[in-house]
Amino acid sequence: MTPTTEPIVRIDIVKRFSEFTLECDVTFNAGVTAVFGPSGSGKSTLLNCIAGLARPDSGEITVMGSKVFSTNERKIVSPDKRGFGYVFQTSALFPNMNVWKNILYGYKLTPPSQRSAEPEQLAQLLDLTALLDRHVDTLSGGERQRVALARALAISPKLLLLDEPLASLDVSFKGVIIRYLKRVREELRTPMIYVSHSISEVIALADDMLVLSKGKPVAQGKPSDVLVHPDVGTMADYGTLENLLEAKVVERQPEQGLSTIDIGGVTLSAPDVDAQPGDLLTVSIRAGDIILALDVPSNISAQNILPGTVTEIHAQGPRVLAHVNVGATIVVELTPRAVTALALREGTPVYLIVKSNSVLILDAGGQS
Amino acid sequence: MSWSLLELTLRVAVVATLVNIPLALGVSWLLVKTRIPGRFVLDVLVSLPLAVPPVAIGFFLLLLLGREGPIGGIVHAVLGADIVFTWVGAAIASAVVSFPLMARATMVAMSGVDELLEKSARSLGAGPWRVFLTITIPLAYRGIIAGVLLGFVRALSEFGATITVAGNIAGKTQTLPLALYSAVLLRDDALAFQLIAVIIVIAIVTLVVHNWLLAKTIRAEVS
Amino acid sequence: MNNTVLAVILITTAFLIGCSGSSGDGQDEILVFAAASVTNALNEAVESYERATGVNINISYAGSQILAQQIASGAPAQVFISAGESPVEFLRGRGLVDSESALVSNKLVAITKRSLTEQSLAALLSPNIERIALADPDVAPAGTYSREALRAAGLWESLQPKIVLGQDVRATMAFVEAGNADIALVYITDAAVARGVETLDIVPHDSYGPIVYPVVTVKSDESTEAADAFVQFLLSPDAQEIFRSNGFEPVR
Repeated sequence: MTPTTEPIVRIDIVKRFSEFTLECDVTFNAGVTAVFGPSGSGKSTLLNCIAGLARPDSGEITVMGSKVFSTNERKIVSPDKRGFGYVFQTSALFPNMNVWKNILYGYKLTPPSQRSAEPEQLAQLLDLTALLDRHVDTLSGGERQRVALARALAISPKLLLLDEPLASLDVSFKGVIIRYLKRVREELRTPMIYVSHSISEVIALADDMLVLSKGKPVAQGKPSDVLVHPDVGTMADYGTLENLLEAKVVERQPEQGLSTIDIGGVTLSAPDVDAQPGDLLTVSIRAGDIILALDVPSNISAQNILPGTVTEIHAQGPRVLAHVNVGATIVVELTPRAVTALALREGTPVYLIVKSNSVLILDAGGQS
Repeated sequence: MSWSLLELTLRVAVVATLVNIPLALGVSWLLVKTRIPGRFVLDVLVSLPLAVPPVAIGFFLLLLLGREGPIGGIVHAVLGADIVFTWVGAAIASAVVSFPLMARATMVAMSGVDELLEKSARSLGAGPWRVFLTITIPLAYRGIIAGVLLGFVRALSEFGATITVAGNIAGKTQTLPLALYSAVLLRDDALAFQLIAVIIVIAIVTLVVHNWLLAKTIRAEVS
Repeated sequence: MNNTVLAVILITTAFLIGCSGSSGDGQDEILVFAAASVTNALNEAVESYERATGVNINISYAGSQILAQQIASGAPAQVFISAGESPVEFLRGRGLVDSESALVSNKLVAITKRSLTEQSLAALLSPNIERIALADPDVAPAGTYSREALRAAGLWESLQPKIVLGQDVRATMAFVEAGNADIALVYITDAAVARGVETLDIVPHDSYGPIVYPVVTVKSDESTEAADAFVQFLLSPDAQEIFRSNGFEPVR
């Protein structure tokens, strides 16, 4: 069900390259829109055109009602006047300034009447208060991206653009940033356009998803729908589809090599983690590692048996993705035969079976 | 070797260098950070004095700045003064000859600044001038200063263009290199060695600072 | 932005002040171009002239060719002393010569570290003279006269294999001083500052030249009064004596 929202971005452009031509006529709504595609599909170019850092050959771009680019009207708004925050893959923090000055850079250039975010609040939101006078070269990858996020948000942007923000990060930092992005989404409600080649990130964060291939849109819609689309199948390696979930440490059992974590109110057994009870983590559970059962299995080795309800089933040909609510929503990959055999439909009560070492801890430990 | 000789030499070289700095920065920015048409031609013009014999540059300047020249004529008519055969002419000659060195070094320094940083600054609301002042220059300043020093050291030792457009007039336009030339011609070895020693000392000090600055830049980029 | 504008204004002002501090015309200042070879003599003469008259003389010393080129390109020199006739011809052809006089003359001599088989130019033929240094006739007047003298002695062709050319007289002398040439023909005024060599008067005086150092006043729209007065001084017995004591020959 699409809520009645006004389109945030209308983009209808053409841009020619030697290898392909980017030709896009799409609209994005509020919330997080993911732009997905293999490398060289034009997704970064699309983002840069919206930001004003690249110029289309022809067309129009309208953001929240005002045109920022139009060939017909010969109008181009320069990037510094568009008011869109941009988080780069490599953070692009200014090495001649410390963290605080980086965050303030755009804030100082924003007219006071347009400021809805204060740098101190953003620093708190992204847990940067202890790092403010640090030099950017001394930061870890995860810390850098948090600063980049704070800096972009400090201009009170109408729109936040993110170009594969997790791509250069160590696996252990991805969880952290996803957590903060979710926090930004929940608390600031800034519309985001998020370029990624990772279907796990898209599933974790996006409300809407556009797929590009060789410069042309291939599919657009809710992520789970799009991911089962036949044209998208070739681009996405489903073996890599992970559930990226926020979890809290409950207790550790180091002698057994296990720990107990809480995801959305339901407890799971996971490998031991170097963290304190109460610490937040991001965990990853591969969609293909989860077994679905209609009844509680007995005498099995898996530690985690989670009761839940099927909320959505997205099926196209050989691909099926089911959303199951166990307290948090978990995406499970199934075969059509399994769906038929178990007579699964929306509302079916089921049990999810997950081995404890299928629960991958993504944080290096604690609040890094 | 007199104090006034050293003062004149430094005055000419310093003025030449100071005049070149804003020009070098501007031209470098145009060539490295923009895509204006005609960049190729501008680049060739900037490097031209390197390829042309200094004496030829001197004659070109003489034609331009002499009493009958397009620029010199106006100055002579309005102020009743000459540019040629004055220390100002010597400074202009030094500036033209040393400009390519400064400009090329500045271009290298500026292109070493990651374009992504500048784009990032634009997205945060900074216009091109502000990006230039707050991001490009602070990140390239060591290389820029090295370029300035290189230009200075070249301006200091300039001879061919200087003698052509400013002449070898003791007390007025005779800089250290020209005084050296005269000393050698007149076989005043003692004086010649003195002058060589002074020139070499100034050059060594300048080049040591230049190299130190560049080494710091490389270390900063690598880390 | 403001700082840049301020800097531009300051520099332009300094520039203009620098310019106006130096006017080339006017009764109390003259710009003289002179061949480097007359430096010591001219400086001495000018010193006494300045003391006597209070006129400020600025002298630019360089090679005669380049000085002539500069004048032809608009250099505001009022008096030109050349080490040879052809730079003056060059200016005359461009209508830039107002008046011309012969200032001083010079004489060709040989300098060497070797002992000659005989005290004449024929000694150059002997095997103990392997290399002969001359100033390049295309570039230096001394070379032209040397060639003339050797032709007159019938030696020019036969000495060709032994001859090396220096781009100016000082370079030519340096060849002999450093041992890269055995003998050189140079002006007697140059030989006076040569080191470690013997000067031999073996070039017949009437086989070349006459060597003349012309002094010229440059044609100008402005008054040549001061320039003419200075030239008159240079031709006067007092000034001529100064030139003589510096090794120059009187005009024949």
